[in-house]
Amino acid sequence: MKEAEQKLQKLYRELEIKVAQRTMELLASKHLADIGTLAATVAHELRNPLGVINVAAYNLRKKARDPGLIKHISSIEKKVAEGSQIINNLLVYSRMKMPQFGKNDIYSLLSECAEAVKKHFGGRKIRLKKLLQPLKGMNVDADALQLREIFTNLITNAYQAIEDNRGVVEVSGSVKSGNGIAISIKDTGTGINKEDMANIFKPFFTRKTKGTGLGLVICRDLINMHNGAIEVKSAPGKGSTFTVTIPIRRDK
Amino acid sequence: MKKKVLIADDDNEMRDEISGILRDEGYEVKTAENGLEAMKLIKKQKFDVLLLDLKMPVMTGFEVLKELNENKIKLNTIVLTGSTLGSSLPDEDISNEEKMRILKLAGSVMNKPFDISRLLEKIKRQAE
Repeated sequence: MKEAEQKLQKLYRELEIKVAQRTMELLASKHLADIGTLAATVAHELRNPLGVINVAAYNLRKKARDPGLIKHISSIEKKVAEGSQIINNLLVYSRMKMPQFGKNDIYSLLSECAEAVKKHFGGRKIRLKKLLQPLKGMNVDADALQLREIFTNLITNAYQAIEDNRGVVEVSGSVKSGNGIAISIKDTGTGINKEDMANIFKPFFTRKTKGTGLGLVICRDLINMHNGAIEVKSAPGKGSTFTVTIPIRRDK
Repeated sequence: MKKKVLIADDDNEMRDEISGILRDEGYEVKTAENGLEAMKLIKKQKFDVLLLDLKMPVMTGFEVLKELNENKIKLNTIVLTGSTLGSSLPDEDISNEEKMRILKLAGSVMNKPFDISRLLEKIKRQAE
């Protein structure tokens, strides 16, 4: 009788945890939906005036004879394009959805991401080192598109952090004890100073001339939704290492 | 004969600025500040190209596209929109699927801020 009672209590506790988990998931998705609506509204309200500014600049350019004036018009056009790009990034961020979990061959996925980024930066002499052997044959329970988003972002950052034409980007993987894997992306780039370190995960913070300051925020949020974590080690002039840990199986 | 372009957009400045460019390019331009005005003009005279905003008061661009289709009026339409296709705004009572279906009725869709040279090319092609 006591045994049955204990069993019942255990089931009850499990149920409670499941309800709490599901509630969290629903709250998170509701929050994301609200941000989505807000972003779509803001995007619409900003794209219209940007559109008008752009057409007006075009009209000005046609009438302008003074090279000084033309330079100002170019500035307007350039900023319109940049503003438009920021809106696009904001939309990507806001369209973030709860992960669609499935089995992922993490070795192939990481190799593909790394090679794709390398190809993008083809013109530069940056060596890509892949130390992914420990992850061979492992299947990770995660959202494939979101994993690609995370690692493409981080590897792109690594390439961009290398300002000279020479350098090394290293993507390595290891299996953690228990239920996890760790993936590190290391670069020999400029590194991050102490003050900036406190801000790198804040939305819209960036040191890049063409950045939107949403890349790392998106990465962190996606990793959180996978019950993972992201860590950074960096020093100015010594490069940075971003390490992502994610569970192999979803906790039931 | 000058080719005729109708601009339907609820933004005054947008209508003025695009009209300026098109007149310089040798088009005859008429403007409408909402879908209903545009439909009235379309029923009265023939246009070669329609530049259509989507989110307008009184009658939206979606409703214009639907009505043109229902009345079997063939008019080359270029949609110029600030909206994000695939996500809906809070005050819209039309589903995304429906929107995408209706948008297929337009010859082309461009997001604001758009590339003006590309727009001019499109208008030229569609007016032929």
